[in-house]
Amino acid sequence: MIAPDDWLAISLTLKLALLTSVILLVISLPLAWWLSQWQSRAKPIVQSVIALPLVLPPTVLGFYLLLAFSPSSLPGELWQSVTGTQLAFSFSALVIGSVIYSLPFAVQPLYTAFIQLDNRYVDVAKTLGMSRFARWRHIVLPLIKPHILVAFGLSFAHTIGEFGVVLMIGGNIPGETQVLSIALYDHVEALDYNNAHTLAAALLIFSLVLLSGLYRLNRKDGGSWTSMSR
Amino acid sequence: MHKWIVVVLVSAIVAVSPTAWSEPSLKLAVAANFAEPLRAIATQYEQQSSVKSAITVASSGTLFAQLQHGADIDVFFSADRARPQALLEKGRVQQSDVHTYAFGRLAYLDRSQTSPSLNDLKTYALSPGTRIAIANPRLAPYGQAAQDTLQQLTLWPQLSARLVKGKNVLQAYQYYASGNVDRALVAWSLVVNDNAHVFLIPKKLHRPIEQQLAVTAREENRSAARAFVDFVLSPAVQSTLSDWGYEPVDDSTQ
Repeated sequence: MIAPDDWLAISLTLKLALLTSVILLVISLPLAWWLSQWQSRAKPIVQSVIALPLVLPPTVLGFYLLLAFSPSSLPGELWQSVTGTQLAFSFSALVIGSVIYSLPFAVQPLYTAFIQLDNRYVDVAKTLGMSRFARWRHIVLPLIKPHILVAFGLSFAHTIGEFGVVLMIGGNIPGETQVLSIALYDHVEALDYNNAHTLAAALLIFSLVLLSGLYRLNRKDGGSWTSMSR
Repeated sequence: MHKWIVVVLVSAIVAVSPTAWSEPSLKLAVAANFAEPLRAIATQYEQQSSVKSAITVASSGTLFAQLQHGADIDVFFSADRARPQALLEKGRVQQSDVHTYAFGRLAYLDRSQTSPSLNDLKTYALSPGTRIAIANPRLAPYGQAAQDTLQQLTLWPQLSARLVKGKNVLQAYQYYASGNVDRALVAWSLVVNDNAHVFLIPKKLHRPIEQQLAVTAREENRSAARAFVDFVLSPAVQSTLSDWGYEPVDDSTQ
């Protein structure tokens, strides 16, 4: 029912989404923590910059990434001199693009978590002589776990559905940059509606299962994802 | 289930399409590559006949999907022959509504050569190097022509793994213009005014890039639409096509 090339696109998409979400968590946890503690008049500006991918049309973002990835511009040149390969049209380019594109989806839930985190727990632990690492490991992370799940799930889901950015920087190379949404677009443009329907249905069902699983996990932990840890 | 997906997809497509109709007499829809010449032709037509037209630019596939679901378009200028033929097969239009209006030509772009030739393409294919951009052969007639050319030159085995494919010929050109690739096979019409780094691919190397139109007007607009099509196919207009990088219909028999 699903063509071999489409399976390749599906596995590539999962790989991209997984890698992107993991990288985003690693970046967003300290970033959101720092943001929640930081008090400055410049804070709204930094917050807006992080939220910008929500507003920018993905193709616009993709176009400027394409310019940045070119060997004639600094980031592209740097990449080429370090890795010896071209950045545009590579899987790495998609990961970079997806991380930027999904950044707000990871940062915002975590930021909310840290803002709502009851500092008394941490303070008590401090007075009891818990080390910084132990406080994070045993108090902060368990408290914000639902938000971490949401951040992970949202970035994962958002990357699965990513299209505009990949369309601009991918170059449609099977097994390297031809992700699910691109394969779907190709089917539609080539008037191959049968394959398009199959793929669209698969994408829809998968996303539905993923999201409901996520919300269910969240409910088990007690609380909706907007107001948690109170 | 399928029906709902179609509804969602189509409303999404319709929602993103530029719908700037402001009570014009003719509604033209054109594939991106022929948009500029068509605008010039429509302006000329307006001066002559005072018939106004509004032009929608999108990919042939998008326009085709819109037409199939009842979009109100008078003449559909496709970048290929497949889509007008598909409209014909589906009974949306009749044989007499479909015409070839121009032939496209393919060009080879090479940043490393001021006046490149096929030999440069061959040399490149046999040595390691950067990627080469073409339009997606599955979607775009220029991509199909690019694939034909590389196969004719027996370079396809070496190059097929080094291709980057744009969703259309414009994007393939964008990959070149942004400096991400140093070589590309694109529409001659995109680079007809460039005088360096361009080589016009001989047309015997690929199947003709036949661009067809279809008159899709409703009954009340049919005669106006037909008159415009006659104008497009008239020798006066056809003879200007070469300025835009296309070949006229009459002297391009295969």
